[in-house]
Amino acid sequence: MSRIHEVCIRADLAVSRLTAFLTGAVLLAMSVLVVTLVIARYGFNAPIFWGEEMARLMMFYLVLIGSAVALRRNQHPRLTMLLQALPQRTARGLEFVIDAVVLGTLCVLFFQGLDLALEEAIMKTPSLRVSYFWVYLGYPLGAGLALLQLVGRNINPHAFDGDDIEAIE
Amino acid sequence: MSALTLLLAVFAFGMIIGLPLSFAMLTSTVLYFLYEGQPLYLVVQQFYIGIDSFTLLAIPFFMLAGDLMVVSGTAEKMLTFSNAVVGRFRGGVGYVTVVSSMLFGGCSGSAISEIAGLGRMQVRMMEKGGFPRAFGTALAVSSSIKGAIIPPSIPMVLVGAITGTSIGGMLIGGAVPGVLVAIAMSVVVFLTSRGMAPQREGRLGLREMARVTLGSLPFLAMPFIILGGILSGVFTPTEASAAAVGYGFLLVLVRQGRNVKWGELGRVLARSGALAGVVLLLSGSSAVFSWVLATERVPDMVAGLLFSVTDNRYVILLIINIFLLLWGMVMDMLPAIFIIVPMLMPAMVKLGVDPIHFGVVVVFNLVIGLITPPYGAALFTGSIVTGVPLEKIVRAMWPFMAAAIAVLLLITYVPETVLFLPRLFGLD
Repeated sequence: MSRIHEVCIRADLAVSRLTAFLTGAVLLAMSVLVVTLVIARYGFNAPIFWGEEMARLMMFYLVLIGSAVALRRNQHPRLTMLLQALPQRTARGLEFVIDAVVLGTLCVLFFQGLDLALEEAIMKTPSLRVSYFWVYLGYPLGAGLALLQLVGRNINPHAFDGDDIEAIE
Repeated sequence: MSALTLLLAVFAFGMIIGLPLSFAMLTSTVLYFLYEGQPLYLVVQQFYIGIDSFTLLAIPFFMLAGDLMVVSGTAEKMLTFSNAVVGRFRGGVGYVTVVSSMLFGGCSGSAISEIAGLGRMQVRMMEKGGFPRAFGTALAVSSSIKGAIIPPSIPMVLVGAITGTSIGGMLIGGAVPGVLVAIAMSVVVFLTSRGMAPQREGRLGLREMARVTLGSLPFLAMPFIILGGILSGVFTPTEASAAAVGYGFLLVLVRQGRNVKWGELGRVLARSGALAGVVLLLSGSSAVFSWVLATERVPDMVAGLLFSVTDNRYVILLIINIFLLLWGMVMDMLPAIFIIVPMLMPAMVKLGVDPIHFGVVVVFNLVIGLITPPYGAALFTGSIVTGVPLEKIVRAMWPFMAAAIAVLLLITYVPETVLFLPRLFGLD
């Protein structure tokens, strides 16, 4: 049991780091792309016609993958007044219910997104001319990572406490 | 039971039990579609439409820009500069906080990134200067609202994007209200810091002053790039945000040279990316949610209800202000921006209220909600950063909240405070 638990925790850490890394990498790539667009347009008077579409595509991925990171770190805004007022055991039960609802909703995003990706695969985007499959693939990818983070949060709850806001001293 | 009742009941219940707001919206719309027998792919389709916008790229970029100024170390130089300029007055470090927040607001679009990045340095400095930590935290948290009011501003971009109001106009419209808040808070510092006997900084020599000023120039250039770019019409807000990020990266590379702290840079990127994910997930979710509300004609009902009370626009503005202040106490500002603002905007325009004026007033109001208890995201972040318990911060914060509300009333009833600059630059 403890051996399995250990493997799970390691796997979870690896997935979490990968998810956070992907988020940062997409944001960095998006920054480089849009800065290049601005320079190409004003500096060289040679606008890159597929640039905006590419940037929007990257942002779509950023939203879904970044949301997975935020889910792990409990950053999605929510009301915690009721949870704080309840006795600890009841609150823990309620958290479980909340996670179950989030899980269900993520499954809808995962499967509906996958369906959409497969159905629209024959269509191509207007300027990049890539299949919409690659666009909507963001849904199953992002929702899948979010599901893993949701599970990870429950087997290894405090892995990322204070990881992004550094306190004084 | 009608499908609309189901939607609203599930949404309200989900929120109360502590479901993240974006998921409360998604879950309730999923159940609505199931109940109505409509296909579920509408959820993913409307969500995609909600965030597939080049304008919204400004959100992650304005989030990142402020963080890069902190990482590059230039924010600290700016703090030193502010200290040299206003630190020598009585209550010195208090004014330094107000002024540095204002300057940082010219680089950062979010109150949260301001309190998380700059707030830490400010509170440390104020404690050294003789302020109790709780008071310092209260001041830093209250000052952080300028981050989301002074251009660039993420909520202004959001309101402009979803209501079709000029984003440049909204951004510039926040400039005067932001400065007014800084003035109001300086007055509060003047009045409250008497009993605390904070130290004054000595006056710097001319040469030292020149050195400090020169050191802060790389930071002070940032607001010029953003504001100048938008005002001159050279940049769209999204392009300005990208230029700000490019400049931020440049500063990190130039100032850290070969010793770039890649780990820290990576953490900042991941954090900004995750926070942008939070904002835009809400944006997409509320696109689905508002789409359902619109098909159920809820916005018309709300407008009808509002007009049944009165059609005096000053009274309606007051009602909306009070409602949003109460909302801000218990709720996050983003759902209000995504759900309530699109419902009210057409009605207000019909009443003769300028859309930029209304947009800025609403954003200002909701940003105050970030620092009001029991639910205030900036307040929470301030408490995490400084380790001061919430109730202690809140006790020291009332005068600052009152000052912010006074400015809110001023900008509500004197529209010129908001509209002067956008009109001057033809951005309305």
